[in-house]
Amino acid sequence: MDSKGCRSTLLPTPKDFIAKIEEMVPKIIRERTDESKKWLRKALSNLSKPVSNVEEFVEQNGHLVYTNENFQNVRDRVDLFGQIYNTLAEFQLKVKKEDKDNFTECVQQISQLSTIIQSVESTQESNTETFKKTLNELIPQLNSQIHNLHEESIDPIFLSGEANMFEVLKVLDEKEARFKELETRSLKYNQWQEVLQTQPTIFEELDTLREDLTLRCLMWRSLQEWQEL
Amino acid sequence: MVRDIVEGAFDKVKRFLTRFQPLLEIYWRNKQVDLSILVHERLRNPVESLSNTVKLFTYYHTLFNSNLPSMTEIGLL
Repeated sequence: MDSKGCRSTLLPTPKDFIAKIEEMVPKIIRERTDESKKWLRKALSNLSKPVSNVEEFVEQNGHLVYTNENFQNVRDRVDLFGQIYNTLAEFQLKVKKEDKDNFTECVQQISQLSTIIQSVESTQESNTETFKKTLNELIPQLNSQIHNLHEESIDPIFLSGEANMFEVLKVLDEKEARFKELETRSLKYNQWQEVLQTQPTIFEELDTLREDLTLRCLMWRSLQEWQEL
Repeated sequence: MVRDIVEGAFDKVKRFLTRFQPLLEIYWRNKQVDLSILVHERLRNPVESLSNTVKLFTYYHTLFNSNLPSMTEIGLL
């Protein structure tokens, strides 16, 4: 009784599976190494930017926090890729030279990023103190601009029946735009204060300005709508 | 006499075929394997799993090589 056909079908299957592993695993590990490299490149680029003002410092701080939160995961992943390559080598399974080089580059990027993180962290304290002072100078300037706009907004002309409606509306639009810019800046400064770990400033006059300006804009726009009817 | 020879031949065939059963089962189970699971992101021990899988397939290769019969005499022409 002959079973050579059956033997020839079954016998190569385990080796075929090993060959599939040999083809599939390095391919997937290469893709994942590329993803990790992309992340590392971005982190390196974000943390390497020079810092010359508060905004740049706050941005860098955000990148530093994000990088520190995720760096260990990336390291663990890359470490795992190394272990997988070692396992493949242990069973004499082929790994292309370019994949090995790709992995080595990734490990080098990890080392570069560690160095940059250390360097950024070492300057954090002195930069925080420097930019706290800068911000402390910017806040009174903003308060002064808010005050000036408030003074302008409560001008009796805006409550006068003699005023030209179109001219008043034009001026109010411009003041509203300035107010929005000041409001955005106040929020930005509060965010910076959070990063610099200082007490957030309450821009009280900004709220009064908002009320007064909104009231005047509403009154004149309603008057315009009424006239159009 | 002829009946004994035929019955003996059928017994030999049955014994011969029983050697295939466990190997066919391994073959069938291997066919169901989804190898991509070895590199799944959420696999707990990917290195161990990969190592054990390669070892298992290497063992199956040896097993198939030594246990898969090519032919047997059953006493009939």
